[in-house]
Amino acid sequence: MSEILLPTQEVGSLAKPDWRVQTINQNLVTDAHFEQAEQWGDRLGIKSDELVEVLHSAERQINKFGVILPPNREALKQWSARYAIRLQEQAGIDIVYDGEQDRPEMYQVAVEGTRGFDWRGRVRAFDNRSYKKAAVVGGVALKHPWHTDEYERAFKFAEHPLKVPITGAYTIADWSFDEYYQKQQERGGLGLDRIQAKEQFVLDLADNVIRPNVQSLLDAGATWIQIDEPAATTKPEEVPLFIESFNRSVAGLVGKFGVHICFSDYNLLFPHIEKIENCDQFSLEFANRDPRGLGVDSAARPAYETLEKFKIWTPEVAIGLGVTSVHDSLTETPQLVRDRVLHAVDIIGDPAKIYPSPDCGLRTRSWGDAYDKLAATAEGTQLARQVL
Amino acid sequence: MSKEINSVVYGIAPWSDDLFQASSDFERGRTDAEHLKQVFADDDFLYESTILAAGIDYAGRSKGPDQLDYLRGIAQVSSGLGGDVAVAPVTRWFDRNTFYRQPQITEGFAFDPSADSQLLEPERHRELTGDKKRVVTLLSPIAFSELVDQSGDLTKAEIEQRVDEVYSDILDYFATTNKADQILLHDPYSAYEQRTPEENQTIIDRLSRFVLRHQLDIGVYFSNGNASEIIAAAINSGLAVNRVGCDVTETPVNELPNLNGREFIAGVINADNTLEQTDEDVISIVDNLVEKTKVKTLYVTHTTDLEHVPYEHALQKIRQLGRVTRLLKGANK
Repeated sequence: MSEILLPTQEVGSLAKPDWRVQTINQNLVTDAHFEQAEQWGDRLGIKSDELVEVLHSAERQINKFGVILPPNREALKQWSARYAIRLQEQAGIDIVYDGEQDRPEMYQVAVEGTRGFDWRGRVRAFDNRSYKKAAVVGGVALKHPWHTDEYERAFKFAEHPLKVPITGAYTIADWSFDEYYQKQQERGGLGLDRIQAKEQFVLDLADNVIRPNVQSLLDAGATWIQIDEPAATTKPEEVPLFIESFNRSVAGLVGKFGVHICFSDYNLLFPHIEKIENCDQFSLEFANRDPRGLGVDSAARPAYETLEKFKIWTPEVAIGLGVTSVHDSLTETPQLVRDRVLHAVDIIGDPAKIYPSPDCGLRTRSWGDAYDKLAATAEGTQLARQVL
Repeated sequence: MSKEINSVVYGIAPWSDDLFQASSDFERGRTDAEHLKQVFADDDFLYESTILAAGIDYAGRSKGPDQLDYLRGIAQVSSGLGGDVAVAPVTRWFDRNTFYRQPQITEGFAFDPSADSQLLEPERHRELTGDKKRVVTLLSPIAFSELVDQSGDLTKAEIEQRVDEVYSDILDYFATTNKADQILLHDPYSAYEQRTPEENQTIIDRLSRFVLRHQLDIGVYFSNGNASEIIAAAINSGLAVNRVGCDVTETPVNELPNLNGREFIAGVINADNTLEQTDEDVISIVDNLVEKTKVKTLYVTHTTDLEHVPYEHALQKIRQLGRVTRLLKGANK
């Protein structure tokens, strides 16, 4: 992508279309689902006839057998990946993925692919949003590579370069209950206190789960992998542990690697962050906390203040720059995106190190809103390119 | 042990998996309002029934659709916010994978007693729990003023002043309506980062000015870290509340001051992890606390809001709280 100034990128998830969710869940396929498939097909320039036939076929199977047979299930996955990729490309995003169409949620998919966990139930993330939370109940190991099928599917449909997101070791551990490592201490087994138990848990995940996953993606042909660590700074004293887990996940592997952190106090990363290795990009959320008025100076763009520290501590690492918020449906104007990009370029000093993007995955937004925000990201970036 | 023991369930309650699903389905047009209302009622019923069956002495919880986080509860009963709190920035709740909408308050920030909010109607579920004593949990004014968006026109001192005024009005509301038997000011902020003695004293001085104005039964509970120093500051300053307390799985009991015949709220049931404690372990924590601090009346509770564990586990923890309290009361006879 080096030939494009300020390449735009997605960060991860998109919502799944209703026609996919309802059909795969063996619910009734309604006229609205057919209309949605056709309308988005028209909007994205994809002939939807085959998808409509898949939906009809699935509907017949639900009526007759109560289940959808595997060929149609796979076809539905392929179609939603194809639509999601095309949505991003048509919106003008340069580096894309499939909107994590085959993942229930970033934590859930990680736990389901790993030995040593049992589900415990849902807890609130924010508003009425929740995530399934598991407890570690035994030693952790990879059941099967999580995302190689997904990557191969995306590769088939994408015209733009791909970046594959994968949930990181520290976040998986931090979001889990611990019924194993701490218990070992109580029973006199591993002799670990609470801090040591967390450390062992995180590093076991890095060594036994994330690293083999990353290796599998590289073997499948992936060239750019983004390790998602939204929990990285939640416990300031454990930031060095997050960094060690990242380093152990990718040390010595050949590829482009990044880390995505969001809704966090980035100040807590410093000075530890200078010890990160084999990391090409920090993908960061900013727009959520930035005012919506125009302006390119520091007073107008207070949310981007910590970029100064990234420039000092990690001058070689590029920035995935959050310029559109994912937690509301108020689409940013291209002019606002432009100013956020120009402000970041002014701080970092090198536009080649800036990759404008949404703050995070857009899974909580409708496809219409997601499209508008991605388009604003692309259009605002284009305005910034014209200024530069 | 010859102390008075009470059990307390406070704070934001978990939603069941079914309720999360129904709420999400409703938002996406996949189910209707009637179904969501029914799931909500079922969720409420089981939660309240569990509290009743466990024999909990003081109970209250916040979980309504209007109180999706602690700050939202206050925002819903006030006016003068800078914008719509429903689309305010999503902000991490301390060190958890839980977030809240961060409101901004303006000069016009004021209590609205006419708001249709579950926060103001703690007896709404009394039919399920009979004459059980009602605790209304409010995020402490200290935490509220620290956690709102401070980038607006008001200075920090002005924010604190507005917040204290609104909280005063809320407490007046409860004092005059008799809708709460106890007020619990839950403070997850003050113990989160270790502060200097001067900073702790500033927090206690502010709380003192605030609570002195009200004739209510008030407790202040510090969670989310080692609270020994701020508890000491509260005791040494004679903070004029009925009781203070903290998470004693995070705060070493031997670092707590002598409570010298006072009342204390002890968070002993771990609401941070699904790892089950044995009743013996919990009782041991309580025995140690009583021996070390000479506490007079003890309110045993969970370490933090039960919403941080899944619904079924929260119910188990309520049952354990009830069971342990009965054992402690039995030992007390």
